[in-house]
Amino acid sequence: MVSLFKRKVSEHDGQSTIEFALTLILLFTFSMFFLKLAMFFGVANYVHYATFMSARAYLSAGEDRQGDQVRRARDVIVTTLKKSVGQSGTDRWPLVLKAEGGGGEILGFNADPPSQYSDVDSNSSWMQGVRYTFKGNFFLAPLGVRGERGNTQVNSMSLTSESWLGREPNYNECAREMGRHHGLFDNGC
Amino acid sequence: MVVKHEDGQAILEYILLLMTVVGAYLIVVNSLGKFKLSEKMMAPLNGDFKRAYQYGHPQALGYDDGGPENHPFAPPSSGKNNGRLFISPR
Repeated sequence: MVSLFKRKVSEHDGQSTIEFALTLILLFTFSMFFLKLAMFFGVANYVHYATFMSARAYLSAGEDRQGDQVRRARDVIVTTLKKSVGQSGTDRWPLVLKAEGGGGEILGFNADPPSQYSDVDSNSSWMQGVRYTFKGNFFLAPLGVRGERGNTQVNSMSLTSESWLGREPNYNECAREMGRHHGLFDNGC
Repeated sequence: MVVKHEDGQAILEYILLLMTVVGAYLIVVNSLGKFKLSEKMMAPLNGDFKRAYQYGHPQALGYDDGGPENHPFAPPSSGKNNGRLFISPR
């Protein structure tokens, strides 16, 4: 009986399996974290490009600001970062990043100048362009996601992409301004 | 004798082993949570990287973050290192 017990204890067949299982927890956590981070960085770069393209559309003159310049900028964001024109509320890569905030119906998108903007002060008149805010969640489950930073989960990161290219005066603004000086018979717009 | 039947032994051993592995996992997870390892891993991402992504400089502050500082567009007179496109990140 004693020899049987000694023989059983000396068998180490499952040891490597258990060690592997325990190591796998950390290995999987770190691997998934860096995989998710790499994907997030890749798409974040694309968001910079999309914001820049949107700011270009916003820059160009049109008939008026809200109905033309902002609409064009919003359309660029929808076609690049949202699922489709018909699903403008759905992110294109919801597993990698999610839009948040923003100033209008498109989540994350904001073409309104910030509160510091002033069109008569050259120190702040450059604040015209497009901003897009989004956040990503990272897989850190075994490292403890229960801790919270304010109302935000510890394992999330929120980024804002901004492109301040400015805005050309649109037709209505031009006509109004030129009308003040020369009259509307040849407004130069 | 019924005692000699060992049909369920492997399953019983498997369950006991599983309890040991899960117990060890929970102990490791709880102890890691106390070290706030996830917060330490996310700190540079939510700090330096976030500012570098938005403003182009890891120590930059925008108008909404108590700045501007190290901001490429803000006028030079409005704060430290403003209005410069290329600033040493150190």
